[in-house]
Amino acid sequence: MRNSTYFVKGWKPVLFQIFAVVLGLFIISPIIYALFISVMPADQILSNPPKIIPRTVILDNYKKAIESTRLGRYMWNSLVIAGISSVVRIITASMAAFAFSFFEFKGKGFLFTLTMGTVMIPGDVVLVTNYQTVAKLGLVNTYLGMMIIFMVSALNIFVMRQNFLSFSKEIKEASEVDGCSNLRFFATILLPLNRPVLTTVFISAFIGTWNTYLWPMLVTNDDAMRTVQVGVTMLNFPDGTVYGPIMAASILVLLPVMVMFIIFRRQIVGGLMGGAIKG
Amino acid sequence: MEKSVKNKKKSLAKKIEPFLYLIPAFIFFLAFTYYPFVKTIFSSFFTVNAMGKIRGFAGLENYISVLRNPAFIQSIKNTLVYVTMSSPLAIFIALILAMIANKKTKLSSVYEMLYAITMAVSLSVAAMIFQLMYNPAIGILNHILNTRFNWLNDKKIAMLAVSLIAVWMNIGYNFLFLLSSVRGISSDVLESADLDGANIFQRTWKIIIPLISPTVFYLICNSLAKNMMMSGLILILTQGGPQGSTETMISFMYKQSVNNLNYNDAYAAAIIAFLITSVAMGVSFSFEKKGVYYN
Repeated sequence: MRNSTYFVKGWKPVLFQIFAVVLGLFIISPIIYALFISVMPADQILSNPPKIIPRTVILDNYKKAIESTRLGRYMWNSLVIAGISSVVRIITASMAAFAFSFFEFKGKGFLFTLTMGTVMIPGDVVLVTNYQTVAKLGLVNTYLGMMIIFMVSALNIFVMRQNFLSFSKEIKEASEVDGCSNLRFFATILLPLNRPVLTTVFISAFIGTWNTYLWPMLVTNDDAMRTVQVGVTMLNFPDGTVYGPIMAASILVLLPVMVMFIIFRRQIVGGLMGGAIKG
Repeated sequence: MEKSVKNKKKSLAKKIEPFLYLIPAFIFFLAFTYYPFVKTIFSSFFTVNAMGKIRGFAGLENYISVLRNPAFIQSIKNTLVYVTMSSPLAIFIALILAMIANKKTKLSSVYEMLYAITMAVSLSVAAMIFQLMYNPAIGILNHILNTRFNWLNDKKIAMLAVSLIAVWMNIGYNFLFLLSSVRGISSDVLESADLDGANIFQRTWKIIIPLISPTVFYLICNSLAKNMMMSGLILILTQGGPQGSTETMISFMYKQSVNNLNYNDAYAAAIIAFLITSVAMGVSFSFEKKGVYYN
């Protein structure tokens, strides 16, 4: 009822929508600003008063950002770390969620509390000690060292458990009658039928790890091992015209996540809400 | 006889099976959450050398010494100022946006996306963009506002400038939650308010806010937890300067441990930061009982 009223013909709803979009453009204006600067020649960037709209559009800044820095290498590092740790997270989370939703065992409640209790301990508080652990294991400047603290997440376990709990018990019982082991049920029935939640967890884990800054900075000092997020704050260019290439690099770092966010918005939002509100 | 042994084996296997599925997750939980947490608390009561090795019992000395350190006290104040400036504002703006986007229209998917997308922007990219916007000479902000602020280098406004970045980054996340919450309100409730002749402000304040208060409460807790632990923007943009005016608890901890190898201060600061955050959460939970309506 309420929804249909805005499809009534007339200029008011149209005006409202235009207003809403313009407001949206204002909200993302820092991104638009970065985009404009990234295609501006240096003299326009440095002009006084500053220019907002580029007079001429050039791609030199992008060329410079890619060719005279290790941005490509940083991107690869981030891709490896975000990709692998997100897959590992799905494995650890789905296995734990399977135990919490399909088994009855001693200490289940306690272990689940222990799982959710990790949410109360901020990663930053244990940062220094984790660094010492990783250093002791000889993992400084390695992919494994950068990923190792992102390989499990209580919220992921929680979201998956919610989904698994609503999974039909009849299918599970039928599979038991057929002599299907728990492991086989898990791998060949439960996981494939829960692909949506696996996608959600993967996408949000990927974006989260891709965007993370502090930990990868702490455990790397070798330039070749840096992630994009750390690398983009340390770009050095031979001449003084730094801002154009830096904005170009920023746009390049932003782009994959933006695209993922736009394509998978539904899944990401579903995952967020599932982890926070439900239950 | 043989059968019962087999059954016993089987039932033992059945008993340990669920634990096998939990092992991978718990290895990581124990190694990178519980162990370091316990160890950080434990070490904070000892003197620790630059190699991180425990040298002797210190009691509360580390805490006393770090709390006597004006730089750390300053960082506590700064963090609280930062949280007060950034958390409520980001929720307030997101609420306005959620009210605007509440009704579905032809273009609503477009502006919903625009309102939400800041949550996909990473800390370091946001820092780089705002660093240029804040640039006193060629940045856009002074030009538009017709001001001459030295945003990140003036100790009076540097923290405000950093807070604005955090507000911008958090709008999207808060918006998504508030939108789904506002849309969850049944239209009957709103229509009956319309009939009572409530205007938009009365309607928002008296009807919508109470109904979405659980979500608002969640967002307050979430942003408290996040913002109390903020350090990334500081480490990228100001290094705690000018004159310590933007140092936060965690950036202090980070610099003490990484730059100065002073783990005594770092551990104590980490635990104090944790305690202050817990107290802040506790306070908001006590408000929850008064102000949050679950239906």
